[in-house]
Amino acid sequence: MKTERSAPRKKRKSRSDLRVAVVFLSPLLLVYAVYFIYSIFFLGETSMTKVGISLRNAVDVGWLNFQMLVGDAAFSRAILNNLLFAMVSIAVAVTIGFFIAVALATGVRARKLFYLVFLLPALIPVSLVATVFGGMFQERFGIVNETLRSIGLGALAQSWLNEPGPAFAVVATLFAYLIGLPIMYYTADLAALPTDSLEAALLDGAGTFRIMRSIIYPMMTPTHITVVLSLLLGSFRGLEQVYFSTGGGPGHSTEVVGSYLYGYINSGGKTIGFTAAAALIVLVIALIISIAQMFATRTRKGSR
Amino acid sequence: MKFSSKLAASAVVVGLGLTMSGCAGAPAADGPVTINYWSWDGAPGQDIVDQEIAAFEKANPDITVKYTEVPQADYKAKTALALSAGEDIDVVSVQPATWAQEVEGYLLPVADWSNGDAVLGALTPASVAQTSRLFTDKQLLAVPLYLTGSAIGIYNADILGELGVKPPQTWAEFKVLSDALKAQGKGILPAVMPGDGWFQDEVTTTIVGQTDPDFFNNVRYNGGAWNTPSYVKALTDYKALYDNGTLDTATLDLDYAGASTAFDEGKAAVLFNGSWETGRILTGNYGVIPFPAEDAANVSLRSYLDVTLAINKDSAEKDASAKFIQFLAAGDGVDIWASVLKGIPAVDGYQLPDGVLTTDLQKASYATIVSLLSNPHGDRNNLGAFSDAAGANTKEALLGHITPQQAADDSQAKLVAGNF
Repeated sequence: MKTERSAPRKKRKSRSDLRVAVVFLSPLLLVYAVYFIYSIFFLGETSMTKVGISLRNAVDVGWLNFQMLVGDAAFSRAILNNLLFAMVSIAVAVTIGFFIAVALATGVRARKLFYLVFLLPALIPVSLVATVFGGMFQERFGIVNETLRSIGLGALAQSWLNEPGPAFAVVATLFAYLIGLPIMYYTADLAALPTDSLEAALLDGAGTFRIMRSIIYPMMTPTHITVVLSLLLGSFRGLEQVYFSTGGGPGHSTEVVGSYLYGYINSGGKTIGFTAAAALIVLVIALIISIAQMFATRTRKGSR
Repeated sequence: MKFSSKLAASAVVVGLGLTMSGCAGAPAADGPVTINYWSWDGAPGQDIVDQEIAAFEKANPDITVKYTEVPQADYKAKTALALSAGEDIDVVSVQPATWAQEVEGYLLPVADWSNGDAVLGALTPASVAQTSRLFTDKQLLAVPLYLTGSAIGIYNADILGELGVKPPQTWAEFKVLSDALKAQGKGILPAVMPGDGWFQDEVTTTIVGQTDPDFFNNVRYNGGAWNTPSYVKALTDYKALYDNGTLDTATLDLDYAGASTAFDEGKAAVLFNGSWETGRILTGNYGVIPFPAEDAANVSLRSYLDVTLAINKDSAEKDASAKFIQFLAAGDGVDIWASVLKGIPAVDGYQLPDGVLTTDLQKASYATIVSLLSNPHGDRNNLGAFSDAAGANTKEALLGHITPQQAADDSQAKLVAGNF
């Protein structure tokens, strides 16, 4: 009898929860519908046209913009570079970033100062950091080559920004340099980590690196996934890192989607349909990455 | 009830206040008016525009001008969007390139300006004709302010004087300068220039035009090819300047500001840039040379309008806007911006005010600029992002990553692909 009575009560509670959820979510859903769905619709419509930034006198061109993008090696290179730069920053974040976060969480002296040092690059404008990097690596007058020459290592001085390999390394360093946000993610989740496992490990005589590698690192898996996803998707929003350092060059060797699109948007010509098509393709890629992450996360939750 | 009375009283007070403030803010039919003027940095620039506005407002106390300066890199996108969104813009600077047709739907024909004939009557017919070519069906929707061209060289007369080298007109003479600087051993570079793609394209098109004057106009107006033998030869010749030590590839990663700073600090003898940098001759012992050629008889450049001014057709203050444009383009305002040598005014028979050019070097340099801009080998009516792409290929060829022929062919493929 108790079960028969509690079932309708549960149903009523469920309905009530749904109503509350709808009330609280409806403003956000409305904003989402107006801005996000409209934006995608707008992009889709514009991507089928040849039109300038004023969006006047659009000419319908069907799938031509997508065909041009598929055949444009610079666009493919930009997408590939985004993924490569993301991989570099992910590798740095889940190793060095993780290590720094754990080290700082152990209560070292001047902890706040270290936090400031590591978070600062993420807090100042990326454009500024990238501009400084660009100046530092200038071949003739940059401080990197000047320093190498002054200490007798002039042979190591490079054309950092004009040769594909070094230029790629400079931009990759820039992406990796901005690991402040992953450190913040790790720091926040470390504080919520259950301590009983750590205490047990300590009692069993496990050393610091063993605890870090075998206990903390696996327990932070959800944070790793968040870090990986945010850096992967964040790389597609990257523009300043490239625009203010190498400008995407030499050739298109350091081009990313952001710098690729920016060049076309500011051209003053009838390029907005083309850029809308490119943006849609990038959106689809980002969506695929997000869906893949969702499945990855769901599997992990199920297996627990 | 007590609360309601207070609320009602407050509403009345607020309502009256709003009404009164609304009345106070609305301009009287023939009272003071405010116009909004949009331009990009360097056209002619905040400092100069501030002087222009002060002088204009002094002469026209019933008109206030509010100026909005947008960085050049963002100007095309931001201004076009602002116009399409109905932003309150009265006077707008129009970049004389493909962008002009993007915004032409928002512009008031000059024929409908209250002073259109008076303004046009003061300008050279050639500059007015160039302006009309910017728009569909050659309908005149703006008036020209000044002309500029590219590329030119600005040299440090002290450095050349110390070396005993005359200002080079040919590449053979420039090599003499480069060798003399190397022999001197002070680490001074022969030349710096912006390594940005767009400027490398300016340089290449300048070199092509010195031997094939029709090259650029043929591409721009007649659908001509980019990868012509003359273009490939020009790029090959340009690359040879780096290969034989006349120029230094280590400067190709300098941006606009970096190149200018290196020149200002005396680290380079020559700064290659556009004629819009001519004002530098007023700031030091600097002179102007044409961009060198193989043969001194061929020195030349591409020139075109640099800034044109238009009235938003939705402006509520069209007469005041027309008055302001007349002041800037054909009136007392010309002397203000012309005196800093931003460009060659489109005003017919214009002469710089006495006292602007004080040395023989300055006078000779200005004469060189006027001569070059008046006798261009082509229009500097650039092709937007295509210039960046072609310039990036130029740089790739200079660095030896691809051949000049490959660079030309890739640019040609981009030109006809349709994504610009």
